[in-house]
Amino acid sequence: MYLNLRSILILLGSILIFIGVISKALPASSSPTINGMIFSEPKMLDAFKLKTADGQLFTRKDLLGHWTFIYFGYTHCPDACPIAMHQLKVLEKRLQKTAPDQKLSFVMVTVDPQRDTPQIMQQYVNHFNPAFRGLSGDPKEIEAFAKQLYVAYGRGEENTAIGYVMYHTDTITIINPNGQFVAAFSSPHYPRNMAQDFLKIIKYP
Amino acid sequence: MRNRVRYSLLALGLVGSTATFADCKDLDVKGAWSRATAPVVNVGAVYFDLTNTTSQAVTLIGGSTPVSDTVELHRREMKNGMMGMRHMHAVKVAAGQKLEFQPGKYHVMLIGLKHPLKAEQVFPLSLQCADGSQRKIEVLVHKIMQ
Ligand SMILES: [Cu+2]
Repeated sequence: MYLNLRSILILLGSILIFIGVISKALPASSSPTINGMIFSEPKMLDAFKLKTADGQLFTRKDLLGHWTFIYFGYTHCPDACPIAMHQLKVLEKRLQKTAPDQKLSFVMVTVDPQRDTPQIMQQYVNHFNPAFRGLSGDPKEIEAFAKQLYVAYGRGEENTAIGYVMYHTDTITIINPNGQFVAAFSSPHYPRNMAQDFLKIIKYP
Repeated sequence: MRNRVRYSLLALGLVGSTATFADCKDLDVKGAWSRATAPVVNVGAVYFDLTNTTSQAVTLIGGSTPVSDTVELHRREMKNGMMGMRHMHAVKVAAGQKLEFQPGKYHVMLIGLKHPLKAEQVFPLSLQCADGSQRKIEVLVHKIMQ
């Protein structure tokens, strides 16, 4: 009798642990599918400082109180960057209708601070939407910030009249109004898909 | 007499092969476009569909245009999950082959833009082949940046 009770308790315990493990391992069971990745737990960001065209610093505080979409690119980029920025412009218009209560901010950070000053970056994004922000800064600061957002980049060949080519991850990073990294969109960045995915992101977790 | 005939045939053969020799100007190029650029940008990209409708291979090596200092042929390239591009110094197009110059594939890179490209603007671009021949095309600038 005692033994039986004990085995039952052990069995029950094992089942509970098993359920516990399963539910821990699968918080994603409720996580939505998007074209990209979405974290079950928002990721806090380490301090960083970038530079704006008006000589101000852009830091963690500038990510608070609104959603922020961040794209890393450079102005000597033939198509990926103008396409991504154009798609963000279209996304912004779309979200004004489908998510009117959400405050939104759009930022482009250069991966080529040697050529792209903060002023050049701001003029570049003005071409798409003057409300967008273009940022540059110290190469080490940009690198550390990009790394936190799983964005990689590097210098490519120099056998071209451009001087040198940059290679970079073609993703759009999404930061929540608490300044936490919550998701990233993979390319292609179709505005309609991103708008649908954003509605999933704001409801999760 | 025999030699003469042989010479004539050779001459004919030679004439024949010259006639079928591919010339860049015979390339079929359709729908050339570029996108409007921000004032601060000094590069642009041109796209089109190119088909070598001649019976011989041609080799594109670059080009020229009044709107930029330099013209290069580039190909989109992925490296370790990162996106970049490579300067192609020679692109061989086999007889009958179609080559897509479009985002994500090949593009003609305009380097050192003299003025920003404006929507609705049309500008000439000359594609250069290795044999010195050229294909002149007109490029329409689109406002839509896709
Ligand atoms: Cu290029």
